[in-house]
Amino acid sequence: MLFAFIIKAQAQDDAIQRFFSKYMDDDRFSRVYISPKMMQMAGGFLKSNAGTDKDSQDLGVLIQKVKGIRILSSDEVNGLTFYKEAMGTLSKNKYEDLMIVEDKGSSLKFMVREEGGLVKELMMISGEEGDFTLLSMLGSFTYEDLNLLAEKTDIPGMEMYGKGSKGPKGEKGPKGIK
Amino acid sequence: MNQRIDELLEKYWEAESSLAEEQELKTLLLSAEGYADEKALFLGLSDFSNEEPSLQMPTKIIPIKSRNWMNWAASAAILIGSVWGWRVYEQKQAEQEAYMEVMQAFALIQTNLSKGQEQMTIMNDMKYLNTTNQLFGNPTNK
Repeated sequence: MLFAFIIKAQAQDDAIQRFFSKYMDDDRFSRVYISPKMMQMAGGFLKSNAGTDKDSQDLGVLIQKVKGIRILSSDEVNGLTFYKEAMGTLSKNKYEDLMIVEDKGSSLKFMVREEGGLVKELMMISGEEGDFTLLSMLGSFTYEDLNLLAEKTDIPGMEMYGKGSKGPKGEKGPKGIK
Repeated sequence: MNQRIDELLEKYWEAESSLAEEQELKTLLLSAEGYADEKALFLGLSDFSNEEPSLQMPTKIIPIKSRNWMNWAASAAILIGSVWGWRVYEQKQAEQEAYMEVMQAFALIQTNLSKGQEQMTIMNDMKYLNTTNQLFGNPTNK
């Protein structure tokens, strides 16, 4: 039974990996992979450049908990089609829905994969006409950490990209990150 | 001849003689008798001018200590320092790029999470839709 569980978990990881790999060479997509090494380097930069205030410390703790981030995005495809394809690839029993925002022409879903009471993966899939984004953030973090990410808009460096409800209306991020 | 020698000597001492006249005077003195002092002066000067200088360069060689190793050491120190500085700079640049990359990803998550929160705010505002009925009552219930 344990063996079957391991195989199933492995198969799930493979499914996500397959989805990323499937469009790896597709020029319509932008791919971003932030490796654990890059997370480590980002933490080092924060430590040496940011202040010692609580916000920076919280962010440093969060960065330490994140093992890696993969992003697949495109603004040249019908996002809803790819949204459905991605949802079909994922097995629902492995992931729990965290948040779903469905509009007439757009779908956005956050899902989490939990192990031992900790979030091991945050998955975000969004699709709309001419826009698709799939993001997978691996690590070992709590919902408080996610809440910190949702609420904190004064993170050093984020003001360039911040478009949150409370954040400044910044410019759109570089191509590939929407 | 002696008269000519006297004329030339007089011009010489008056500093009015030309080089040709001085040469002529020397030639005449060689063949003339007497004029011992003048001969000693003019012919002695000629002897001095004909003598080869006997100055010699010192032959002792003073060894100068080679300082090539210091040049090499300084060059190596500068090179190592430059490489180390460049590596540190590159490391800092890479760290900054990594940080910005992570912030970009976080911003993407935050932006989309805020979409859900905005929807929740709208839903939260809907509770006020029934406020009128609560204030004034529902006429259909009367």
